[in-house]
Amino acid sequence: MKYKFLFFFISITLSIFLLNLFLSNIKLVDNFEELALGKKNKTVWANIGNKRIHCGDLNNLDSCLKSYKDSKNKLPVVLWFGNSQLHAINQFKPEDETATAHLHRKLKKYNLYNLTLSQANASLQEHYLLLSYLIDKIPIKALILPIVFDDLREDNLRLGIKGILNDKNIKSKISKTFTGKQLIFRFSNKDMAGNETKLVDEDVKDNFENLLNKSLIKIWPLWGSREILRGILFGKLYQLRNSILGINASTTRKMIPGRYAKNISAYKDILNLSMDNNIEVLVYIPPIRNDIKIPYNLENYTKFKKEIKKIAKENKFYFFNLENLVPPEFWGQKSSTNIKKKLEVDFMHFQSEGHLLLANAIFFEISNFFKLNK
Amino acid sequence: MVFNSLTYLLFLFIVIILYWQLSYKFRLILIFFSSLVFYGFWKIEFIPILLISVIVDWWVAQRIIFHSNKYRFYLLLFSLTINLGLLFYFKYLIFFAENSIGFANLLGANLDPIVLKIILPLGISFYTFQTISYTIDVYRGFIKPERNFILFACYVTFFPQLVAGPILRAAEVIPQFKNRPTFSLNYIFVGARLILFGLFLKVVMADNLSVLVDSGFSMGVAYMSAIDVWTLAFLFGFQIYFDFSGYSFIAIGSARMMGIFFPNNFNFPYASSSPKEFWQRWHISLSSWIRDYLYLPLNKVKVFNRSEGGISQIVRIKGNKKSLFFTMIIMGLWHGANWTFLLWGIYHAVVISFYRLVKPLSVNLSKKVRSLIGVLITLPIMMLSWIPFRANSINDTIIMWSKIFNPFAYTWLGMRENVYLITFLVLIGFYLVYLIKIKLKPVLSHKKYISIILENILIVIMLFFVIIFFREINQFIYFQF
Repeated sequence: MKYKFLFFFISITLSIFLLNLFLSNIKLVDNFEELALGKKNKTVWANIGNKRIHCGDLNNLDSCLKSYKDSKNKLPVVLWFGNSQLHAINQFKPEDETATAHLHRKLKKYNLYNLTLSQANASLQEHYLLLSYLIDKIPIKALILPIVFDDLREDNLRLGIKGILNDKNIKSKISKTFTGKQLIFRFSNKDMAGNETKLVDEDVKDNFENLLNKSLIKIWPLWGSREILRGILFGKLYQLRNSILGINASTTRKMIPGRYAKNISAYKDILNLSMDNNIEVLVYIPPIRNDIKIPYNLENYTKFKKEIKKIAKENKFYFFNLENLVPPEFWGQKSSTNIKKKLEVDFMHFQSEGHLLLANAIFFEISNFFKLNK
Repeated sequence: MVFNSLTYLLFLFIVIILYWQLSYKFRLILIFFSSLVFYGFWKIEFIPILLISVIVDWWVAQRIIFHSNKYRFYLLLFSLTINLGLLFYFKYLIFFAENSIGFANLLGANLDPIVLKIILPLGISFYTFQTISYTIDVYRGFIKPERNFILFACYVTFFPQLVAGPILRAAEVIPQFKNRPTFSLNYIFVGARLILFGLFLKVVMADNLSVLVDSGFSMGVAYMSAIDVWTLAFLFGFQIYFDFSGYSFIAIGSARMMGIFFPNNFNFPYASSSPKEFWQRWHISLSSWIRDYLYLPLNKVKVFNRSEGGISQIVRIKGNKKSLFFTMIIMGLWHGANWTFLLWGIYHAVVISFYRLVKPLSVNLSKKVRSLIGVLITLPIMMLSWIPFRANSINDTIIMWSKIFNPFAYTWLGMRENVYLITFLVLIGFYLVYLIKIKLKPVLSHKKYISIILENILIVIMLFFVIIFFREINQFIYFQF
């Protein structure tokens, strides 16, 4: 029995030691976004002066809203949604800027305020929820909405956006739409019989749990880094899977019918919501590296582009296609998605020159639409 | 408080320290009040409802033994009315009202829907079954009523099993409290290992599978292929198994730390070679309860007084099918007031009836072949039973079930590739662990040091993952029942 205890305590000590060891090797990575994008890409959240104009989700959205509220003239907002293409710069060099920074400066001359929100692999369902959240907070004049084929394979609601569902007013507003109903049904606290399960006095319970968590982090900092550890762990599993199954960035992705349909519904709900609130929407197909075979099923991709355009036109919204905008020399490579450690082609993130081109193209389309130069 | 929270771990630590320091009398008071704190942490308003159940059954049981048959029966009826009345009000009234109005409107009435705001008290299905079993056992003369109120209250409210079982019998728990266990480091050691294992199943396995399950079931049945239906059935089958068995292990481990032994509630249910065996291995305490207080009495067969064994006796009785269907429907509705749970119960009754019919066909096969074929047939049938449990409606369930019989529905995949891969790996992993348990463990038990080393390697790995994934993101699925 004594040996059993001894071994048991050695095991516990060893686990904690291993965790510390694991953490000490990844101390350089203090940002999960950075980790997901890989070493060749850098996340850049645009600031103009000390005002932040580009955010991710509820975790930092307040800083962008504060920048807007602190601005002198409270100009009409041109909201730009997107995925990591908007906040990642491939082969980053000091002084490089994202498209958001360029566009913000250009639009400001015409009394428009550009605010960008982007999240890695953002689904249109997430964008719908974010738009519902922002509509009452800022005067949105126009929405620039890139629709990425890859992102229509997404269906989750990240924690930093899920929190919007706690707002009863928003919940009530979105509950009339297909996307809203789906999100509420899926992410609210309901049991399998459909009853509300928020049985608990959340404040007391959560406050106490948070207090314990914070105290533990003070004693043992590793406790606070567990989200990064989880990310790394999933990343390694992802790489392992890719290595075993021979999957890389160029592997052809197919449409996932259920998710595609839900995101198309979300797209329609975004357009309807915008229409109801007099927001102009400029829909575009974003740039993709296409000097080599793109990683999409071509039949699916063609169908997707036609459908996106058709829906925009049906709703009398502006549509343009930027898929060929960025020439091959402004794209790059990214860290491998498998454990062989080779670099892979990056189809999504371009260099700063690409960002400038994108900003110019978007500005050109906005200028045409709003007749800014006339 | 939920088991997968720091709050619970701290609470348990404090209770254990105090428990072993106190004298017998104060230990019981500690258990009772700490259980109320544990329960009140969810919602303090739930405590009186729990106490009503405790007081009524304690009082009724005291009087049952002193009275004649007729009066005894009325007392039992009183207890059942209170307990089942509470259960009906909190769990079934909304369902009953909505469906009655719906039915009346179907017949031409023009009634407005009633809006009832009733919050289901946590664990009510578990503790009412436990108090009912106590009163019935006293009525049957299986046990003597417990005179010490605190001792009886400890049996009902004992926090490790209060909100999601195991549903234990008074004869199993009360004597253990009375025996005044003396401290042994072994209790702490074994309890800690069980809690660690339970947390691993919950926070590492179940919670990570839940993301895939939620996403899969939300995609819309129209877009699901038959392969998706199978995959989701298996995936949810594993999620609910890991979730609930994880809970049970934590409950058993927590009680063990206080020197109280609970029987196992799960025993590799997906390794069952027949529906009969499945009900001996899945949620054993509930199926044993259903056996002793519903099915066997309905068939006028001698009942047992233990929360072990499951519903194995069901197949031995050449009883009428009505009682089987009635029993399984009640078992289904016990899980929730929804037509999907009723369908789940009917499905299991049909499966058991069919098993009775085909069982004689396998008598000429060798035991090994019979067992293997049994597992291969039982597993998918049991997994498909989870669809009504998890699907959004009866309609969705029927559509999903019908897809598996449609050959054209096997021609596409509706989910991310990872989902199929993970399901396959979990399935393989489950059988690997099962084989290790039945083949390797007996061999290793003779090699003391190797087995200790291997066990501790496992502990290192589990603890490593538990620390990384420990977060209170999901409640246990069975809390809602």
